[in-house]
Amino acid sequence: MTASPVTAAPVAVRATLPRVRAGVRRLSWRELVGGGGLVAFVLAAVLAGVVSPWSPDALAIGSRLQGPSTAHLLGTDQLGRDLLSRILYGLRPSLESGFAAIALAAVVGVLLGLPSGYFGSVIDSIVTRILDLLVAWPAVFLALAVVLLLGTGELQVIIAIGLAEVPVFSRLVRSIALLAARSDHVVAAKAAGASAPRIMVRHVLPFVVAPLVVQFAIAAPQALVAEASLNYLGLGTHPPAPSLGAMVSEGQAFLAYAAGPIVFPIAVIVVLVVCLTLLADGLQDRLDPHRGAERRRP
Amino acid sequence: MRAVTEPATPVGAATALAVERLRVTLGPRTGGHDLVRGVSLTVHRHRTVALVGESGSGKTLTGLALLGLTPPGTSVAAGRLQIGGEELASCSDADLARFRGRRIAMVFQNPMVAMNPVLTIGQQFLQVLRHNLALSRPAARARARDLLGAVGVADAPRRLDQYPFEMSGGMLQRIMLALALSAEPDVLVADEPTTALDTTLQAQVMALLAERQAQLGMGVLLVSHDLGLVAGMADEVDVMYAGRIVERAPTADLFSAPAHPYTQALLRTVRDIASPTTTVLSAIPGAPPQLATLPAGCSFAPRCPLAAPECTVALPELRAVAAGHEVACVRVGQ
Repeated sequence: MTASPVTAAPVAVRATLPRVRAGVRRLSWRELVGGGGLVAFVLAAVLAGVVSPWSPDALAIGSRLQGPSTAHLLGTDQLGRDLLSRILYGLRPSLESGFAAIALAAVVGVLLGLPSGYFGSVIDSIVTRILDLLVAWPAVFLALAVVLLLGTGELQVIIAIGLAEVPVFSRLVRSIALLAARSDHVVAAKAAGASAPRIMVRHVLPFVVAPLVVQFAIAAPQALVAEASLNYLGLGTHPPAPSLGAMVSEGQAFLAYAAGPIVFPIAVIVVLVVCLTLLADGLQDRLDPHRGAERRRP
Repeated sequence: MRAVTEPATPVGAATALAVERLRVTLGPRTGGHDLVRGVSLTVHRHRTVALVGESGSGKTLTGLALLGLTPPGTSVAAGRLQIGGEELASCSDADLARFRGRRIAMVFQNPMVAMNPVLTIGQQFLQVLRHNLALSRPAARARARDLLGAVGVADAPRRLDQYPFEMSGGMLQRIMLALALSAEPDVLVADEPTTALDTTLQAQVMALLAERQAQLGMGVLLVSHDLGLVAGMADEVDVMYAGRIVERAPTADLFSAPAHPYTQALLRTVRDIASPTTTVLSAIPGAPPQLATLPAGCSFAPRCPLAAPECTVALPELRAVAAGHEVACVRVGQ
């Protein structure tokens, strides 16, 4: 309050830096590797326009299906396009759709699960039956149904994956809301005159957040693989826009001549999924009180 | 403590709470069984009525039913329910919602779990005050400070920024009381308000409750199994057994001349501090009845030393044996 604005900034920086360093030191190796990898991938996707050596759509018929070289670090595909550039740009739809799909699933899951667990009875029965119906349907068919109804495209992929993940989120939220709704402080809040929506948001939702974050991290690699699969099946981005899944399916026909167009996108998907899984594991250790305390000890 | 709770208005004045034939049923309305079986009681302003009985007698459930807070799977019905002079159409959740926190409030047994652990005390006060009294944020904060001061919480501004786990049980129960009384309700249901506290804190919290009652004039329904506490605090005692009130009397009369065999047995289970430590504490033989399979007639008959054949014929109704002293037993006076 008393410090002048001129001196306030450096003081804030000096105070923040050690805190950041201490925070990083507290992270587990899973969180460090997984989180660091994810940050690197996101940066690569965001900065694709800056760091890509070539345009992802630049054709070079003379240099098709080449192996790695100084000009093309990961080689070229069947149309002579630079693989590294296409992978960098291809990360964008993967990450975007993957996270958008889970965000959609989380939001819908909370909207369905919270009243379902809090009120129980008829509302719960209806919501649970609808979700059972969603689960009974294999995820791929669900995606195909969405694409059939809405056509192909990135948005459709998001809806398809999101829909498939909704039951997981909704059931998680419901199970926590079910317990929280019967806890003493919720009864006390009700006695103090709070309305049902207020209780759900202020007194039940906070208990859902930590498990939701863990579930978000668990669902992320699944959603990424699902996104790549749908693109592999040709249900996602429209060519020539690059996507990791589509690159694999396009490169498949030329596997006899060059492995690069199919191996590199797959490798990127695998590394990305491993990073997300490690991060999910680390977050679960941190946020889930029921999980092995002995693992948390260094 | 009695001196403080002495009524400022004569008995029979403003009624804070009146309920008739309150019934709490577990399971379907027909075919389910009753946990509270037709309880009628009246609490006047400035007065404290204690509801005593052993675990499972339905005393807590009666308190919860008055706020529409009975657990899922139960249904509540009453012949009549009046809170703060206003008749309620029914004791449904929707009808009671408007009264909860404003006209009728509740203090719970365990303050450590009855506060939201993820919100600060101030946030919880703000929610209640802004919602119930439509106060602005700064006004609500100022009011919260005053309320905390009124229950003897020192350093209120700092306390408001703390979380429940940062405080002791006694402090939290004071805060709960402040929160419950924030809208100056007509009725306060205090469900075992000191059971989770140690003895010295019990006395402090009860003195505080009496002090606030003298200031605000609300009627208090004190739900407790602690007869010592009840003796010091209540004006009237209603004894519950198996979901019914079996005896009702002014506190002094109940302790000096208990009429119902159950009340007599209950009072014998209390240790007299003057008696030698080698005295064996008396217990009531048998166990409370299963509410699903109640015997015909008086529910206490199977455990009653005075039981006679006529006890198992019909359910005894409350009848007056002295001024303000009612008892539900056919053998009394015989």
